[in-house]
Amino acid sequence: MNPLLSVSNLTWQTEQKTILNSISFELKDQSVNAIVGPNGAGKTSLLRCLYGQINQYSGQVEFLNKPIKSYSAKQLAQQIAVVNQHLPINFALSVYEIVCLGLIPHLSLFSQISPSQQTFIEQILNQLEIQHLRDRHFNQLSGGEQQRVLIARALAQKPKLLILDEPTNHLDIHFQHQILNFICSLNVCILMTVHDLNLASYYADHILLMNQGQLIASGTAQAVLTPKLIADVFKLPVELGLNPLNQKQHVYFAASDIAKQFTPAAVTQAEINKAGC
Amino acid sequence: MKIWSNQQKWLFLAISFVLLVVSLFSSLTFGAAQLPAEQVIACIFNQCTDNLEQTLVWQIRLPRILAAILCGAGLAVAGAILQNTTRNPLAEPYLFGVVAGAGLGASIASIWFVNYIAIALPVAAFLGAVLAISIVMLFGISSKARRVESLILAGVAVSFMLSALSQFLLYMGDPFATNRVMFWLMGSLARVEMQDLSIITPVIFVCISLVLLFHRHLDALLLGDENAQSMGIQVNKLRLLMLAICAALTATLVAYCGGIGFVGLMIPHIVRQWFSSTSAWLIIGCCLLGGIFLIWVDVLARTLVNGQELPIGIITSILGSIFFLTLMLKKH
Repeated sequence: MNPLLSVSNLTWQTEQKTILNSISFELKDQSVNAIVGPNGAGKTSLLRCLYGQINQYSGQVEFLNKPIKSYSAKQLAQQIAVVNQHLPINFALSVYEIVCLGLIPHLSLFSQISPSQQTFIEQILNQLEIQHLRDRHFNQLSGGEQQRVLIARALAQKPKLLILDEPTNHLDIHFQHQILNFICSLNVCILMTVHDLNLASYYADHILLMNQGQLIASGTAQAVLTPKLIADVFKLPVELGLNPLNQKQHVYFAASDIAKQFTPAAVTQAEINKAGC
Repeated sequence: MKIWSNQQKWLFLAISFVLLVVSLFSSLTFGAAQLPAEQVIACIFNQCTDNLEQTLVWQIRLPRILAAILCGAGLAVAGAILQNTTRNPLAEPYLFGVVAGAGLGASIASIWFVNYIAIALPVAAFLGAVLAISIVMLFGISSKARRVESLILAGVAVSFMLSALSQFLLYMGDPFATNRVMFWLMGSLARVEMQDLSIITPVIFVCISLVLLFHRHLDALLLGDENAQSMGIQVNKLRLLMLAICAALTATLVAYCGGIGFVGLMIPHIVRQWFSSTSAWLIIGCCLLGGIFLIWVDVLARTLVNGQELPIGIITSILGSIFFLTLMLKKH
């Protein structure tokens, strides 16, 4: 089966440094893919190249066997939807108004939202269980509710690929699992960045491990989340086990070892003086 | 803040429209000369017994009331567009150097084209306003200044630069020219005649129609540039188009009516608070409320001081600042 998205030798350099270095991978249709890696690994930059926000890269990014650069902005928006981390809303928009914005790639300047499109929006609101919030202001919602609204807006674009940048950020454990459960139940290809390795292990079919702009490993949780690779990338000793509740691989962190390195006793008086405290 | 249903929004628009029409006709009765309502109605239907009254209604009062509606609507819409495109609720046309540019044009016309001042002043003011916003737009096109904050700062810088230039010209020039420019900058609808409306009206209608075409795109911009781009919107092109529309709207209005501040800031703010933040409703609401507001401010300008007309820009600025201070106190 042809891949939905194919990336080969993707490299993005700014004047100062190489942000992404020779990255290659493929995504299958309707698969759930998670990008993991430390801060500054290039996860968000990689996503931005894939949805056309960054274009000055070298290498090939193909969507449905066609270079992504050959798509117009509107064509791309009909295929790929994005849920970003930041949403700078200064004005009071309702949930329904925000979700309807997802129809923009399917509307011309002169067309109105049709009854079938209205029904489609209602279905999405029901699917995400946010029907009761439709007339509430987005800014008045909790983090979990806001995230669901943004996903609903993205789904209104009818995408084949849904890109999510840290969808579980700022959410409590309940909402983290609720959102990821929902995302994984969608019949679209998912590509998301996550910080929690266990969430990636539980929910992703395919994990991409990045560090310093490079793709270190990609594959199943068993293949990628090994103690050696995690220790190399995150500088953190870990042990692996099996979560008895879902039979998925679970990563145990030796947090106390890390804590010891940062106890006040480890800071000498000379270092304190040098820091000017 | 409660979100209104579509029925409530339509009702609000209908009431606003009725208020606008009522304001239009009732404001015809206000002015230095006493003209009772029945006389005004007779004059509207060309059944006036006195030719002077007929002229007063058709040649003097009606053009300036229509100008008030167009000016109020145009400035409020320009403010709303700028606020949405910059995602800054405090953005307004004058922040982008439009008045400073028009002032420079007016200064040049007043000093060097005194003999043709009636034509030269609006033309030069228009060109000055276009020059100001063109500099800001050129800055916006350059790849290093595409951020919204940079655009606003560029507007402020251009505004100061052009103000300084016109002050320099006026300082070196004729004191009468300084007076003329000063009064012109305070704003007035008295200068607008029927034939001027044939230029102002199509500009306002074309600009507002264009904005309404892009209403969903403007809403998408509220979610941030990157989100809007992921919805297929060419953000930089859209922003430049909206800036160009603002330039056309404000430059035309400033050229004929001078500086009328705060309308572009206050009216969109009220419409958002009471009515809706989505662009389609916001633009229509701004047209109606902006028109009503400026009709009554013009009535105040004509009647507040006996036998004398106040510059309209002074009243809008006083009302605008009181409005914002009250709003801040309420919020605290």
